[in-house]
Amino acid sequence: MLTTTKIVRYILMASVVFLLLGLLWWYFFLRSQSQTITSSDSARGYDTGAASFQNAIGSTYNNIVSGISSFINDSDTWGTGKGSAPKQLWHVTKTPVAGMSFVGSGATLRLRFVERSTGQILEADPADGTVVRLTNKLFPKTYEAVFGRAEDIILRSLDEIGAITSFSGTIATSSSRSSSGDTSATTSSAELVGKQLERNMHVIAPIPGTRELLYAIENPQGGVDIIRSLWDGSKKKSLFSSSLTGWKPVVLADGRIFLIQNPADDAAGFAYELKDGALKAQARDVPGLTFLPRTSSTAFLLGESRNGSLALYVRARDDAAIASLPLKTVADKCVWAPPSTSGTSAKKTTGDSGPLVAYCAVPLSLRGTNFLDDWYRGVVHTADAWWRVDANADTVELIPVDGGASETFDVENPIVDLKGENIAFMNAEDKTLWLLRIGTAANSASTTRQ
Amino acid sequence: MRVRCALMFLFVFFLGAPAYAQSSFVSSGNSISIIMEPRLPAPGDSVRLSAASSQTDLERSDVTWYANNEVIAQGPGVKEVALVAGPLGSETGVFVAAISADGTSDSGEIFIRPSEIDLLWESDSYVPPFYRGRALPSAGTMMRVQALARLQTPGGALIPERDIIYTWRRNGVIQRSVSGRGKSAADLPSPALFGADIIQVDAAFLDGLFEGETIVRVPSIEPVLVLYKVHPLFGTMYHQALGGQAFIPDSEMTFTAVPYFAQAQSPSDPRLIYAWQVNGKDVLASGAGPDEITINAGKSSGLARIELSLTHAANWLMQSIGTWSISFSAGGGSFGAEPFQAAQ
Repeated sequence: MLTTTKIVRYILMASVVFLLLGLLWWYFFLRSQSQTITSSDSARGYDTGAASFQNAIGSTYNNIVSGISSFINDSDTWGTGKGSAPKQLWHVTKTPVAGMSFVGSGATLRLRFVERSTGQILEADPADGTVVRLTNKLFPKTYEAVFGRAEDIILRSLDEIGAITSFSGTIATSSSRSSSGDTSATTSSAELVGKQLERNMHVIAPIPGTRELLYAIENPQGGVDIIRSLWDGSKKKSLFSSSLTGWKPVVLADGRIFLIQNPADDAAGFAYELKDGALKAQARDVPGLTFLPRTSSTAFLLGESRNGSLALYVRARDDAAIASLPLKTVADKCVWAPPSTSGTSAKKTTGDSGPLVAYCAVPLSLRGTNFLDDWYRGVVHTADAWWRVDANADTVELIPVDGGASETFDVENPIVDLKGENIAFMNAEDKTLWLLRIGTAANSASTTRQ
Repeated sequence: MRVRCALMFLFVFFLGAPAYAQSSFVSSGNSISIIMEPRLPAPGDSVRLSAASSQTDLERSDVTWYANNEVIAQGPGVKEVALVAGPLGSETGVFVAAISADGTSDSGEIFIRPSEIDLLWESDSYVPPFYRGRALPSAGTMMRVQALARLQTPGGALIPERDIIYTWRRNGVIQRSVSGRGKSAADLPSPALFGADIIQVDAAFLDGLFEGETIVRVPSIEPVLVLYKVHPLFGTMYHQALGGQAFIPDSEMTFTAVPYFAQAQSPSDPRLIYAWQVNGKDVLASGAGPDEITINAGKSSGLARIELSLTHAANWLMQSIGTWSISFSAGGGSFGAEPFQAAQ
């Protein structure tokens, strides 16, 4: 006779067997379901590898680009990634960026930029074409990135009701670098820490050489206040109030502040220097005015859009006449070469310094009669060529670009590195990032005088 | 000779006296009046001065013009002179003396005190965030105008805004509600549809000695409808406006219409009335707001003709129409009677 103990033992053993069989069945069931989901995703085009952070740029680029055929126009990939020097004209990204800035100089020169889709910060090495992702904090739909000194950055986006948000952050310096598996590039991950600033800052301009910024924000009277504050938005100081809201502030490395009225074709525009709370006129009553002052000098470039035609002017000194240049473009497409004595520290003098050289992207052809308005609205785009402007001599020279004949770009937001050897710009047509090596000495020798 | 000495005395007397006791464009107490054109010159302007007198026959007189004690023109019947206004903060005293054939004398005086006034304008019409251009006035919106006056005394001091009386005119009519002391900015109705307004501002120091004016013509434009893609990763693609013909390499896409320069606070302003049509059929907005529409072309690879009519509940002058032909890279199905549908 079976004792009660034996019966219980058999029941327990049977339970364990049944449990093991159940688990085995559950395992095979889940496996089959996963295969079904995977095959379904593959059929819907979602057969992309899981997001990884195993290479220099992370998977975002591949994930985005592979899903957007319009961004894939040629076989060139994002950078070379293999340690070879990029071409003179380097299409750094195939996806939109929100802004960029040069950091370092010489051998340590890097082009730092922000992906528009993720708000993540990356760095490109102009010397060998490698691209490194610095941060992985997600800021979706970053429309604009403003770079300050060193590791400071502001990421600007829109909230659900369309208000502008601005995140002021600093890239933590304790970034770790390590070799990746299958590429010669290195990976890096740093933390972006910061805080949200006030909503609806209309425009933000960094104050070079400081950890401060200048911004315009609407006041209760319906106009704007021009505020100077620390990078995190603290210690605000109102510099100026205006009944108008459409201003573009520009702060130069020498500390001077300019306010330029937002332009429109044929509409009189004004540009001022803001000094001690008062406006000192720099350019007055110029139709379709675009304005680009130069640091450490009284020189400026001035663009005019009148009656469907563009004109560019230069003033070398405050006692010099404004001279017309044979280039039909806007000052927004220009950048001044840095003064020869340029450095990271802000200079407090306005005496002329270095050669007065500017680089301007000039549309090969213009369509329509309202170029500025249409260009700002993204209605028209141009194919540009780069020109070198010598403001002292009032001469212009075309900059030949090796292998760039087939590349077209509509230049916006051009910046130049501290040595004046590289120009980075965004293509207004797709917001992708480009880099042009201008190598000052070689460039001067090979240009064609107009 | 005695007469000339007397005239010189008068000249020195008038220039040396507190010059601010008279207007900058009305002649002195003597019977020769001087007309200045332009009435309120800016620095560097060419200024034409004309002398006239009801008591002295200037045509038959020996006329001498002085500018800051120096003779600038002289001769019988010289009733006009031209000179260039000095820089900001300068003061040029112009004195004219006439000696008629019968020996009687007459004189007049005027001061040229150049001023600068910038007249800036924009509108409160809608432009999207990050737009770098100017908000332009359209019918129904308000125009913001701001005068930046630089009235400078010969001592170099700029007269503060609070001590300046601003007189605003719209199409020649004084706008009393926005004019007054320190009122350097004004909100005025934008010009009517397809019209233009002449905006004028006169800025004068309290005692009237320093004065300037400027004028600007501000046209009105029709609001502009621009269609953009709303990309799931990049947001609204403000840099890529869709043209009349566009290709979308996807089967589904959300679009947003941006009503540039419309009388609105935002594209989803409840006063704006969007009427969407796709291939001739009325469809409802299907995005995050009435300005957005999502089109699913999953069952077709044909052409979607999007039409949008934008009107305003309180501004019957506002009407904008846009039409876009969009080709989707859809796939899979065959053309049906209604291949394109606003996604639900």
